[in-house]
Amino acid sequence: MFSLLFKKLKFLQSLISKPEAPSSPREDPLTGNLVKDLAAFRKQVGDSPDIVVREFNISHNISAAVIFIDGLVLDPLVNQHIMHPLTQLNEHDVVYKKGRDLFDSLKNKLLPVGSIREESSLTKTIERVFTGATAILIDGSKKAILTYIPGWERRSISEPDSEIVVKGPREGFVETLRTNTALLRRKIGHPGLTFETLVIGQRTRTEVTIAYLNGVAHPKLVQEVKRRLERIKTDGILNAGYIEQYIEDAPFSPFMTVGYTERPDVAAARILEGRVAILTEGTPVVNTVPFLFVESFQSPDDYTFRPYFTTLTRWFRYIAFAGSVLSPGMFVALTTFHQELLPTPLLISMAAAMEGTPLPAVGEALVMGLIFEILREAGIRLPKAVGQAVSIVGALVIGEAAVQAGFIGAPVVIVVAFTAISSFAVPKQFDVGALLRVVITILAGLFGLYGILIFLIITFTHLVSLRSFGIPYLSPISPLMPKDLKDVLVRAPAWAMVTRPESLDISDPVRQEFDLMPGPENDKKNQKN
Amino acid sequence: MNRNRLILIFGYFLLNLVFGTGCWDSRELDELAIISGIGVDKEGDKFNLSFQIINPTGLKGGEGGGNQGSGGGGTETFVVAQSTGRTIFDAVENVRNQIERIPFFSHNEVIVLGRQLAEEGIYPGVDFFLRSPQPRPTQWVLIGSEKAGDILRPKAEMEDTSARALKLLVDFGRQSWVPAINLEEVNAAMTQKRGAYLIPIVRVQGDKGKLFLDGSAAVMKRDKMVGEVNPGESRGLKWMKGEIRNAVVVSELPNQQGLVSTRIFLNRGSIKVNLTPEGIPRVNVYVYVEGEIEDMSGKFNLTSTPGMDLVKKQVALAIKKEIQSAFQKARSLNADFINIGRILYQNHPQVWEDMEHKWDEIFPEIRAHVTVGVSIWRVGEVSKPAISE
Repeated sequence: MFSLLFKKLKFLQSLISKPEAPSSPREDPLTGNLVKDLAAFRKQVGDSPDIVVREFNISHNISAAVIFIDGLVLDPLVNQHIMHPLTQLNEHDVVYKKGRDLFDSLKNKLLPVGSIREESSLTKTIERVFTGATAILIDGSKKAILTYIPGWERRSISEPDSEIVVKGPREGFVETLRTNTALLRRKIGHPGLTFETLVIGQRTRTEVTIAYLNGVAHPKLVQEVKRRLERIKTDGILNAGYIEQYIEDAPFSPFMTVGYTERPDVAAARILEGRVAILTEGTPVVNTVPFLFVESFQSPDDYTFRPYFTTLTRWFRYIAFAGSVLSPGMFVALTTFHQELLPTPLLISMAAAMEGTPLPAVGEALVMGLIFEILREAGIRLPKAVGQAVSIVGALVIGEAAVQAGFIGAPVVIVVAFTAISSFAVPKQFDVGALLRVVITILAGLFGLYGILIFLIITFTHLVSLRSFGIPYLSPISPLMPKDLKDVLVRAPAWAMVTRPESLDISDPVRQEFDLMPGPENDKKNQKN
Repeated sequence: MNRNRLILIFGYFLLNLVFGTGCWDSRELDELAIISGIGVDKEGDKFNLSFQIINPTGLKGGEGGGNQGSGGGGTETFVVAQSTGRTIFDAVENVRNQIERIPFFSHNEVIVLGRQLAEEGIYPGVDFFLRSPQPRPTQWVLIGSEKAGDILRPKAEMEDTSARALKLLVDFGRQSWVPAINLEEVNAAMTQKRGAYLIPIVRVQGDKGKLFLDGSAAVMKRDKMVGEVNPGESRGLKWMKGEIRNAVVVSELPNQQGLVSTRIFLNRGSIKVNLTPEGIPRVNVYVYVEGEIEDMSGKFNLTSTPGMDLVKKQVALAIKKEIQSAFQKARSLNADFINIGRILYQNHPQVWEDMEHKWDEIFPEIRAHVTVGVSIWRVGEVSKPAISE
């Protein structure tokens, strides 16, 4: 249905004149004449107040210019390490010759800066300057020296709000790509951790880095990720969420097929499993692919707490997800179609509670669900101080008063409250849960359990047909991969997770040695002999 | 077939699914008259049905907190509606002239059949409940000592509905006295040509109308009531079937030494039918029970082996007496509610074939030999009575 719509859109697009593609700047080399080059530069970039062009003479009347964007570079360091040595050249006894001699000396000897490169194209130079480089143009040189002393305002590393753990590292990704890659490097010391960078977005020129473990991640997967990223031709990428939508496998599915995390430890764990991480400049969220459905039920805490407890909590999450999707629908189906399925005392007390409410059960469930969604939405966007007021109004006024006044039956409030709480237990699938819940509630009101069953069949058919970067979405459950169930049905102890997930089809399946179960030294020896 | 066409066809069926069906059997909870008990009476050639219907408004008012009296439905937790009709379903339809909701039978707890109906034949009275998908086949069937409608009228003191109280009484009573039987079992029992079965009888006692289920039961042959057994007799049957789960046997100690009550918590029983050389069936009943001494009025040392043996013997004697009384009643009514005919058929089908047509003559002649084994597990906290010889 959606694809039909999409085709129509394409057709419409072909009717109206093609939108002008962003003018790709043609290659224009630096002339070597500073006045001309600066004029060309000004022509291209205009006269914004944050563009600093400092012209001066170096080494006895050779004119030069330093160009940088105010705010993208670290001012004191630029002054100390670039401006200072350049201006000092005038007092040097050595006289450099204009041209090659001066350029090489500057590049090789005189500038105490770590990251330095040369660039012969004006356009490229401009590009670099606009992403934080400091360019030095010298009269007589056909090349510009680019130094990197980036220094914009950045947020310090803090604990991510969206993924809180009890026992584990408190650091989270930040908006700066370099910081994020550094965070990953600190987690994975092995040189196999490879970063590859692409620039996406004709206007935003957003740097996007893919990270993977060479020798573990499947080369085809890496290639596929690169291919999908390279085909993005858009004007702007402001957020990792944009990337997700361009590269996901099932764009019309309500289920997400690209994972995300704000935590370096989670990202590192995924990379270690053979996944590919996609880091986007300007977003504290790192995407990981392929993403499997079961990952939604895993939390970093699962791997730090004891296995029995985490197995239990994991099952609670499965139950909570099923409950959050099904419970209002089941409630409606049972109270309007299948009253015989309820135990008699329960039916009687429900009948007593629902007596005299004006709406049918499905209406009550939908209205309460809607009120909950509105409360949640309002609570997220509001400042924290006001958010509390919202929850008080929601809980007390709507829940309590609606029942007291007889508008809504008390069982509906209980069901919706249970739904709400359990939907928060699996935050990764929160959005799908809300969507499925509404559909299931409506279908339950129309067809009862029959409708719920049909919809579940459709949903599961869809789920098993989904793939994320070639990996079946429901694996390792369907197709069944018994080895991988150690992290799905139970959470096996760390020493028992010998293999990497088989479902990911990775190059190096063995994660660790086999006999790592801790025990007294003597016993071990006996076992070996 | 191209994709768009497929989507169109799929969409057509999807729309049909949504607008063509759905909702036809939806019933809101407040549109239902939840029936908790049904009484069936026969008056002349008409059926008189009594429905005990739960009144949610009454229940709501009873619970603290809620909005008292908002529905204006009074404070009764249930109402009884009565209707008559030439058939049961006719009466069910007629009751809709009085109650504004859809009768809903799925949560019916008991069916009470009037005595008149039981004597004339219960089949026309229960056929609707067997045929309709709503009433549960596992609900208890009882026979009213008088009119079934009068059984359903009195209020229950602790339960919301008296039907539920009745159901709970049966649930408890079937562990000892009450030969409980549900709708499905009644249906199965009616198929037997020669056998008989018991349906418990419920009475109303006292001015306040207290329901009373003591274990006396109607003896039914096919679908007609042919007599009545007293509690001891119906428990005699249950001993043999090994159905006792929690029963008290009060037995006399010899030489007027007093009484001892034993709680039986385990019961095994088997009925064997053998043929004498003359070809007459002979019944051997083996019953084994385990129990504990709950109280004793005699000054008796239970820790001694002879003392304990005596108690065991007395308990066995008491049980034996009940079993024999059941046989006695079966013989005198000529109603084989012990199902000896069926056991004979199972073990000696050929013999049964010969005897079946003259079973009514043979059955009263059958004698039973009863063996009861008793084992006492505990005597309680007192091993030696304070006053003992």
